Amino acid sequence: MIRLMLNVLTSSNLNQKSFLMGLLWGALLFPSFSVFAQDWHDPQWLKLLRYNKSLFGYRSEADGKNFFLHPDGRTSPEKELKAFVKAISFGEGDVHCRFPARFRWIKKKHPEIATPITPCEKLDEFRGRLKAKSLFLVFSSYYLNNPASSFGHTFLRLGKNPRGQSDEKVQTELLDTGINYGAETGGANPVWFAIGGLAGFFPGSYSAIPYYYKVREYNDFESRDLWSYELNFTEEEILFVVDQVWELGHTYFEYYFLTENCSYHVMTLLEGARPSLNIVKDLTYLYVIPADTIRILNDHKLIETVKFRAAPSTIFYQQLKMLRPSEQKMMMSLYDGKKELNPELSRERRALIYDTALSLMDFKNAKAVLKGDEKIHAKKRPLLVGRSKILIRSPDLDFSDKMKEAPHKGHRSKRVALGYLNAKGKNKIDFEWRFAYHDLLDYSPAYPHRTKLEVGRTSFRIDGQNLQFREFQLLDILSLGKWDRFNRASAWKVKFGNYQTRYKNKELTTQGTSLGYGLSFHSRYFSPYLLAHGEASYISEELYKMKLAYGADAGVLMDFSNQWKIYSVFEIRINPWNESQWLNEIRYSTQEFAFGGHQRAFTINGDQEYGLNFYFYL
Amino acid sequence: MKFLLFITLVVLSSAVMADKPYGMGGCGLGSQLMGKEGNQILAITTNGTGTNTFAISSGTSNCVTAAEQTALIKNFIEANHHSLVTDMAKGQGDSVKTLASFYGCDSDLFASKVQQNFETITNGKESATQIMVHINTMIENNDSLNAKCTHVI
Repeated sequence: MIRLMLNVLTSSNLNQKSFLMGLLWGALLFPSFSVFAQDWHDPQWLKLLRYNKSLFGYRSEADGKNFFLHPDGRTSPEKELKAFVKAISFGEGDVHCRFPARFRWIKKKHPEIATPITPCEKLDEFRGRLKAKSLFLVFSSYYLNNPASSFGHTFLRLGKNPRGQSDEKVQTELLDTGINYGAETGGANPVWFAIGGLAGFFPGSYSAIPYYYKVREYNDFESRDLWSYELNFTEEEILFVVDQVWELGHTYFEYYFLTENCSYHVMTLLEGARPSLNIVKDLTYLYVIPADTIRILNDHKLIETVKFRAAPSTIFYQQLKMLRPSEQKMMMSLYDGKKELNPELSRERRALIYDTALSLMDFKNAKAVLKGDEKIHAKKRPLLVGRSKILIRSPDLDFSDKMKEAPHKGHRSKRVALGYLNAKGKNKIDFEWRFAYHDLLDYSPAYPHRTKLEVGRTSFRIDGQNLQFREFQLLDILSLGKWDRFNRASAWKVKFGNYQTRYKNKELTTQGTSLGYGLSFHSRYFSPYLLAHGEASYISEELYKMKLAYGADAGVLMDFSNQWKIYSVFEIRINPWNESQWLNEIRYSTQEFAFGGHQRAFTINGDQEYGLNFYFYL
Repeated sequence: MKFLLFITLVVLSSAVMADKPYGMGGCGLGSQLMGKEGNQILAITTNGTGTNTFAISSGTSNCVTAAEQTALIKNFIEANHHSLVTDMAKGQGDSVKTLASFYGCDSDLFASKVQQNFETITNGKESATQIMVHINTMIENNDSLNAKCTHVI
């Protein structure tokens, strides 16, 4: 108690006499220890220490014991605050260096508290090197042709340029700092990774590395576009972010792939810095999807500007569009090292052809290029040398179209659907719930195009007086990868769960897995595809049998606009129990809702059904 | 000037590790952490690469020593090697701009000079150190650059 008072009054330049005077004054003027202790209700204290309140009282999400000063600190914000106040009041020690965010908080509430005399060299060095003046949320979008990455990834970037001034002539974005929350999986194999990730077996923690590493990792190595959202955080709030990152560096959290993941811990960091924000509560308890967190930040008006950084694949297709067909051919022979460019072409056109060939090299061989593969570099070298001899600068590429596709402009990923169905003159009502994420006909901005990735689609049907359970699709993926001269991506599908099949004109429930593999071609409006199909399933009604089926899917997606789409697929099944069918579907969709109709015909007896469907994104 | 550069390079070649933290992508993958209870942030600032990668000053600070500055540049070149070389061939791009900022050079002038000297600076098998040495030589031998680059090592 007295030690506290001493500290409250002590600052290094006081001589002994005034020190004693101060002691007297202090006893009269300054708030007592018990007044400090009341502060544990303060939202920022609770948020900085990641306390959650439940029926059983408070508990912090932080799992490392070093994060607390009091033995009961994890469950008692009050005891922890007392221990903290006591620790800083000794005027020595390095508690204010270990927990600078807490110290910044208490100093904000009680400016009269003196800073302990121990200097925080490492912390000051850390702050000095970050020079954080602006804050961005960075969204790394999906990889090309890999729907599993569709959920994206988010991390923070602490910028060195002042807020709102990121377009300086000397661009320092690469020298900013990326703040990432990730799991330490210790090189776990994919199965163990999946189980451990769901169950919270891996420790997760924050890291701070130069932003250029993040750019090389996501942009170049994985060919993912990066979106930087500048947040309207003040300099003081940004300092709270920096100090929290330092402070949280002492601890770890159990990493839950679905809930307490990268995006979740970015949100808690933002709330700790601006406690008036309540964004974590907007997250669902079941799972947190990175792209959804951006829409939440947008809804809370935290976003000031959006900036796009294209991956090599995006750059390549943009440049390709600017080449004439004859130039595309020249580009390919240049890429293959077969032919030099015609010197009669203008410098501008030659530069563009070289640039395109270089982008193709970087995107097709991303991993080999970055790992320094000698063969690839021998192939790339003549392109580099050739380009360096054309002494002009290529005009900047125009990605303004991409802004319409920004992650915050997409639909929300949960969806409910209501359908009216008429089959053989009978009326039926369908209900459907989808946990996530996107299908071929949903509103397209911000999502991977020509891709279906649905998780946990569940449907029920009212048929006369009966309510029947129809489907629970754990996973349903259809990826129509682009097969072209430059990139031979395949089309494939995976379906896993509980779904309907037909046997002798009857619909039966089956549990199984279905796989397909094939090709898809993309043009502006039409994307036809063909897949070979195999299926293994257990029919749990009437037959009680394990069955194998095979066949093919021939389909076309007509993508007229972001809103209007038509999809038609003919599923041929060569086996005695699953019938071939033809499905046609049309849909109009917006960011909030969608509606459309479908028609389904079964080949064996010509049964048909017609449906009207309404969808709401939640 | 050159002697100083030589000294720092000798010191650094043993201290600086090449680092490519490329992991798998996605949430929670590809991070490199230390122990459970160790301070992750501290660990990054104190290990070999961290000291350099973190001490980044965008070339405007006068308080970093020449050795530190050399380490920063070398680390930047190593981590951004392939995109930097591609940008140098094109005479534009943000890795070249960033490199120019380390030397305090005008970025447009710097970019066009590295493009003109592309085959001297790189040979297809060049190391980060070689790129640095050649760029230093280029700046020293070029009056307009030399006059405009404020942080030449």
